[in-house]
Amino acid sequence: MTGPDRPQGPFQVNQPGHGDEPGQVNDPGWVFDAAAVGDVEETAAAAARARVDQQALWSVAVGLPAVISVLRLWVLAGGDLQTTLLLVANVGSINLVAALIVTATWLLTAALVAVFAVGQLTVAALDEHPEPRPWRLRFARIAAATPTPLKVVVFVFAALTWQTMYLPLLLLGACVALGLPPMRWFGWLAAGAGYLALAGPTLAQAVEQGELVPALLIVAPATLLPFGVATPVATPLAVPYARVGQLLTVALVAAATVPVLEAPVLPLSVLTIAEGDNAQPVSARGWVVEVNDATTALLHERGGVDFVPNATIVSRVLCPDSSQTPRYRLWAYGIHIEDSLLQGIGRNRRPSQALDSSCRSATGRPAALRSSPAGLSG
Amino acid sequence: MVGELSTAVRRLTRRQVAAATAAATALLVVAALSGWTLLRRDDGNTVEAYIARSSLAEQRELRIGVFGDEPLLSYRDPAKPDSDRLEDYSGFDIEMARRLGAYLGFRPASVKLAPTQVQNRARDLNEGLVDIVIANYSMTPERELEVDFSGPYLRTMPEVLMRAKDAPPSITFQALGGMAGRICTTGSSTSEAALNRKGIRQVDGVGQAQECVRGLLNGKYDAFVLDEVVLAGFRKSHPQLALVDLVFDQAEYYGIAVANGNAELKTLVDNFLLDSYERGDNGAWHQAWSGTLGQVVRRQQVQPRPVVSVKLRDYNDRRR
Repeated sequence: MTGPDRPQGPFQVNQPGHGDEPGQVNDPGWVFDAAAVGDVEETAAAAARARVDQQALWSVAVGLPAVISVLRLWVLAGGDLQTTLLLVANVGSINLVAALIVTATWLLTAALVAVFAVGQLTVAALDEHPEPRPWRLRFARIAAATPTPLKVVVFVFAALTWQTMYLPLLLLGACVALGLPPMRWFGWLAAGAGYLALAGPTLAQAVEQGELVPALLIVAPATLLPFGVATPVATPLAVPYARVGQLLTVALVAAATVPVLEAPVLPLSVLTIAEGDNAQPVSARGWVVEVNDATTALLHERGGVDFVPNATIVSRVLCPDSSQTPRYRLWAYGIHIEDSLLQGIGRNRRPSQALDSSCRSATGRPAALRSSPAGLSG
Repeated sequence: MVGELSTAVRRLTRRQVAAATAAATALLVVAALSGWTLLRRDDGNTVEAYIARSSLAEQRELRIGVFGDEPLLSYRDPAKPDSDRLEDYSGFDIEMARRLGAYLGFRPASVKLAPTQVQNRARDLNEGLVDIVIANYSMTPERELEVDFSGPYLRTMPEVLMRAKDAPPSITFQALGGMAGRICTTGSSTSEAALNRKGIRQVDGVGQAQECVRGLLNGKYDAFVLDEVVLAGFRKSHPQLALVDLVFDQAEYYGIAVANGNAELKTLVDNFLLDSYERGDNGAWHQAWSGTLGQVVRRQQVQPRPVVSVKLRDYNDRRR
């Protein structure tokens, strides 16, 4: 914006060599200091950039869920264009958005919690580095600009939607992002005792079963707190810390996006199909895309769509997909540690029936439908 | 740059260094734990994966070898002697078979029961006539060479069934020796082996336990020696008989048997028993027991802890 052909703004600045004396405009009634004018231009440019940033942010906020939802349909269809189009034709936009909210809220809140925590830790460097370089200390700027009530809302959503085994990490994040009151040793002791009373039984189970990761998740965040993890990193170290923290956050969020993209949009079903009265029933496992008067369109778990005549369908049951198989046999207050608080409360309120045996039979017999004699094309 | 940084760090207070170190550690811990969770590969140790890999993968039916003549344990409706359907059988072993079938992905209609005999159990398995045997199969080192056991799923002791009017409260092997020639048990059973070890060789080893009961009732035999859980059922259906405590402290442990070397199916059955054990009163074992043998067996019984080498993960693990 300093070249000779740049468009001139309302202020005509006297460039050196252009007027009678350097630093003066031709009209003696209009006297400006060039440096002051530069500041004003900088501020205007920053404001314009902030406006564009905000517009872009809103465009992304609205557009990204839609794009991700369509990408998920693509993944669900096994990358096949015709199947994707069939899904697009039959899956409503509300279903898509609702499915995204159910499966991706945890990721959004996790990303925000990471931004707030890393940002708050590096906020001390903001005073030393006021120049607006786009990515340097970006998280610190966001953390500083976000009002506390908004942060609290994010943490509440996180507490409800994260798997309970990660709640100690959330606690650490909350202490970092929202700050801790100054505590003396007895305060730490009381807090530690309270935490141990709360998490101790699950920790004991984890140790007894030899499960390292849940045990670490319970112990590590709480142990770091008394060492001052919640106080902002000292200024000289804040910039390198921000650089590493921001990079790691982006990498982890990118890695976590993959399972979200792979999460199904439709409920997984097993159909039991019998062609004719004496035929042996076969099982078919997949997602019911469409049901009309004559046929049911089934997208198989291993790809490919079958249009199954409705008259041949004996039964349909809902089944969990393999990604929902838990890794641990650990509970905290009646809630499985891989369930979120919302899931756990729901499960305790309406305990689900045992897994239907058809869900397993179809897994073990993938070729059953394919090898059936007629009527079902693959 | 690095020089400036190290100079600046040297000026920090000890508390500031500790806080920065803690923050860096927190970053590492979070990154390591989340990264490991996100990027770890599936270990394949799920019930579904094992079913898909096992001999059951392409089967439409699960064939289970059982006995058919032991009330409350494994009893076939006498009016339907040729039936192989679950609903025509009753007893503890049958209830275990029903629940094992569901665990392995078979609806009750797809579980086919095949009557077997004591001496045929290993042969039926290894010749592929049945997939699994649940038939008071005591786990012994000799039998481990013939079949693979999951379990134990039941602990019992040998006892004696006698006519009520002749029955003492308890009996010793020495007293049993006096009845030589009038003692019945099932052939190839661990009870027969125990009697032989005690020097009592004149024992009728019959094919089916029902023959011993008939012999007791018609006076052919004076004593029927077998495991308590088997005899308790006969005692229940024949009030004129009485259960006599055999002074002997060797317990029998029953296992669920699969063909020798069928590691996937054995692991699946192991995990079925473990799942039942961990669920306690809500487990398959307790439900099967309380509706059948639990009504008559005098000794307090709980499911013995099963031996499991590979723990499988299962969606049902979320439910307790």
